[in-house]
Amino acid sequence: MTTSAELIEHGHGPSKQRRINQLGLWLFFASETFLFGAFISSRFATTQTETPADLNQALALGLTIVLLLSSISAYMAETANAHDDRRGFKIYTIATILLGTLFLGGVALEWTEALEYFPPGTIYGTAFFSLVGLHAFHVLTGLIALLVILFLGKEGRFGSKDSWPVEGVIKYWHFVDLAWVIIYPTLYLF
Amino acid sequence: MTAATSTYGPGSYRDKARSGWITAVLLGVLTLIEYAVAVTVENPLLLLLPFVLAKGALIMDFFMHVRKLRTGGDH
Repeated sequence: MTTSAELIEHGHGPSKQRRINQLGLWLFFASETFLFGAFISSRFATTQTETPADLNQALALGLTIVLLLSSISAYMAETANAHDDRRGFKIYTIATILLGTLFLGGVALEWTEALEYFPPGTIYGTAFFSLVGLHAFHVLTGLIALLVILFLGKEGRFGSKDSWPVEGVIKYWHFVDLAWVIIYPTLYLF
Repeated sequence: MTAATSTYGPGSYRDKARSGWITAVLLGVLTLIEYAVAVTVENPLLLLLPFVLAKGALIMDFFMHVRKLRTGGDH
């Protein structure tokens, strides 16, 4: 495996390494898009646009707002890191983690209600639990990644000279937000 | 939306923070309109698609810096 130092030694500067990182991340996003796309298309293939009347619309709207708020706090954390504002980076990363945790708590509440009205054995329940579950798992992994950059940032890592790890994690968080922007109307509104 | 720039584009820290908040407010407003349309219109699929696309474009452009990919997103 080629390390960053070896790449630089062989004429690939940090800029080249950054482009390679970007390419890898966006290829990962492309593969994830196919995964989410398969789940979303299966929802329409099995139940068309039919949605149960028992869906908790207020909770789903609240979850959407929470995730959008986490996106702005993540963006602020990234901006603070790129401008060497360590305190801002820490505050906004913690805010993003709290909002992400709140989102997962809301999903847990939603699932307890959903189990009663449309359990996983029903057609809509299968689509609902698999799609929301897939997304919640991505939120969970995003939270773990955010915790990692928070603790490494506390040790003095990153900043404007080494912003890629933070940028990569925050981009992943935005991707998870983007996925919800499509999942929310797919399950609740159409 | 001239105020909105990406994290690594030109502009000060404050400008970038402001553009982020403007984007977030736009996303929030679009979500509320989307919800209002969904609860008032029957079979709103086609009416909601522009909202989904607009929100996705905002996130990809301002938050994921998709336009900076060509240059590798360098400072």
